Amino acid sequence: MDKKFRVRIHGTELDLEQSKKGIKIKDYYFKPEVLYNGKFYRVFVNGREYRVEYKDNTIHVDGKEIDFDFRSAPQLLARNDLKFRKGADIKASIPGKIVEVRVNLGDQVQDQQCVVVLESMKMRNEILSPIDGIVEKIFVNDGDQVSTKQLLVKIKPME
Amino acid sequence: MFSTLLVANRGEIAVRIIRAARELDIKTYAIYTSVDKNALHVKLADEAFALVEDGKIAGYLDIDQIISICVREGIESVHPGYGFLSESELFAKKLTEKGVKFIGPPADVIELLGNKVKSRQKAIEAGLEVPRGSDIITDENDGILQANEIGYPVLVKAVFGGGGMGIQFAHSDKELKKALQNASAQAQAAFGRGEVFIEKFINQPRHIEFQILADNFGNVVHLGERECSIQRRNQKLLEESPSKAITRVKRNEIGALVCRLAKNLGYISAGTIEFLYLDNKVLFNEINPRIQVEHPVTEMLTGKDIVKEQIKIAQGEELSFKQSEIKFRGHAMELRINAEDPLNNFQPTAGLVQKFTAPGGPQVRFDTAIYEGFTIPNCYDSLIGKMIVAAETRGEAISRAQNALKELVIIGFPNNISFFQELIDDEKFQKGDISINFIQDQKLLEKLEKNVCTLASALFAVGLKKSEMNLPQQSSNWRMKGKMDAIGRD
Repeated sequence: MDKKFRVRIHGTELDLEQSKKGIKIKDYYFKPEVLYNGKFYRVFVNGREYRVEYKDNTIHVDGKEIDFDFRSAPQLLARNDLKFRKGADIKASIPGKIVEVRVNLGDQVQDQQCVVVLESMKMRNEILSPIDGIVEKIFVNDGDQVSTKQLLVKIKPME
Repeated sequence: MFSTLLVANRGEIAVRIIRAARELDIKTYAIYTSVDKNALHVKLADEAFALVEDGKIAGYLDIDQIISICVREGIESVHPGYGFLSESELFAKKLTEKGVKFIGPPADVIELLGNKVKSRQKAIEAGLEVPRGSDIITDENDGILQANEIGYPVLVKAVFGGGGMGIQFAHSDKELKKALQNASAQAQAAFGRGEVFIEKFINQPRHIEFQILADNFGNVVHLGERECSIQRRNQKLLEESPSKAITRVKRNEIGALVCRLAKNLGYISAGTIEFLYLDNKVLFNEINPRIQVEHPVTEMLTGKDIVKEQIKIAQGEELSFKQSEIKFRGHAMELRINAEDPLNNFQPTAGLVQKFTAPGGPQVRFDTAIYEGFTIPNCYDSLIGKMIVAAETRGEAISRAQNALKELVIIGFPNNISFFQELIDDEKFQKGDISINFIQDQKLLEKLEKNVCTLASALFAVGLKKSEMNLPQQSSNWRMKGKMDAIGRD
């Protein structure tokens, strides 16, 4: 059985699966080889070599401090299951302006379907539904300014 | 002459202006919104005023409130920086009416340059080349007629827009109809006016711009070009000078023409004339009547302080140097460090700056307004720092930038430092073989993603190894030593 983890690197979160085949992140497989000499680690992966040091709770790669952390993911999975049963509140992940509401009340939507287009910092961001479901409530209109975590659309799960 | 200055801006440019004013013995005033109460520009200014926010208008755009602060406090001048009110002719006009000096071009010049069709006309009159283009489009039929005359593919642009916003691409009559609608709707939403015009689409050009300075006495100089081709979604990420595409002869030729254009316009203060470059053709794009983010590139190359010159010109001083006294030395480049996630489509991020170490050393400059413990608000521009390096040659500047990037640490939220490492290491970039499509063409984001995932797997493996070794039954040191011996390492 694969073990699932979530890692954070440079502030970005990535899902990671560990199995006999190696470490899978996105669509890549890695088989890092780790050596330790009592002071620092050397990692060999994909023809690259990294020198990794732990100093007072910080991690340094090739001499530069890096933001890295990982945790196992069973609680993440549990939360996903719950979300599927409970429906989803789609919130704005960034502040901006609603330029297009792509769904109507009562529409059936699919997982990863765009429900709202949010413009922020001159960029159009498609806000996606995380589940299959039905549009239960729409809280915004075209042209609305929204702030972070503001509720945009409520999706209820399909019966 | 004036001895007081209000900075109508925030972030690194506000800090930059305060520093320049200080050197001229001018007392500085900052303004701030509630999320910025701990911002660096507030700490550095001699005095700072909180903006009253009613929730509707973002504070730094509140013309009347800013002017009333100036009047109340007897402040004699305002520097608008870039963005916000820097290109608002209304702001410039109202300040002037109240007897407050606006540090920038005259209001009527800003107004004229806000009209892209008129700007094109002025450029043609000065002898510059422009891409084939139309007048203001009156209706759909007119649009189709004009587009066919110009020849597809074309761009539909807002007449009163700028900064690359809302530009639509069209290959055919059918696409054009949609492009006209979209561009007009977006222009209406963003700039309050829906008029559009059509311009020939230039495929994979370089983006090159010229810096000028003009005083009240008819003196105009240019400070050479900046190459700004490294962009994502029409937003610049890296700028450098000189451009590989511009020879000394070309620089002098275009430089003379932009000076003539500025003179014809009655331009005063610092400004930038933007061009598209393709196959030896330098085609006028637009004029930015303000200080630009990337002005330090030119400062490093020429040794001139553009912001200080702007202030001195506003004080009524004559330019302190002539064209013949401007010397370009070596190569300079600027990397825009943004709070944005290159692995998630450059989405803006924000948050607490947990750790921050700026790079240093000879000819390494880091303009920023962040510090450890500062929380970057998520409602403003994502620019958090500008790393500028200079050296004798482009190659040396690149290696200086590589080393400076290794020193630069910003921890607390995703940022684009890792993206720049990928860019700077790219062979084609190092050769100077760039265009505005460079990031897509070189698949830099895909390469970055793979490299970040590789590093994540390495760190994960180390983390596992470390936790194994911390367990009491660990006994694998001998095995590891064997491994190291086998590959010849100690």
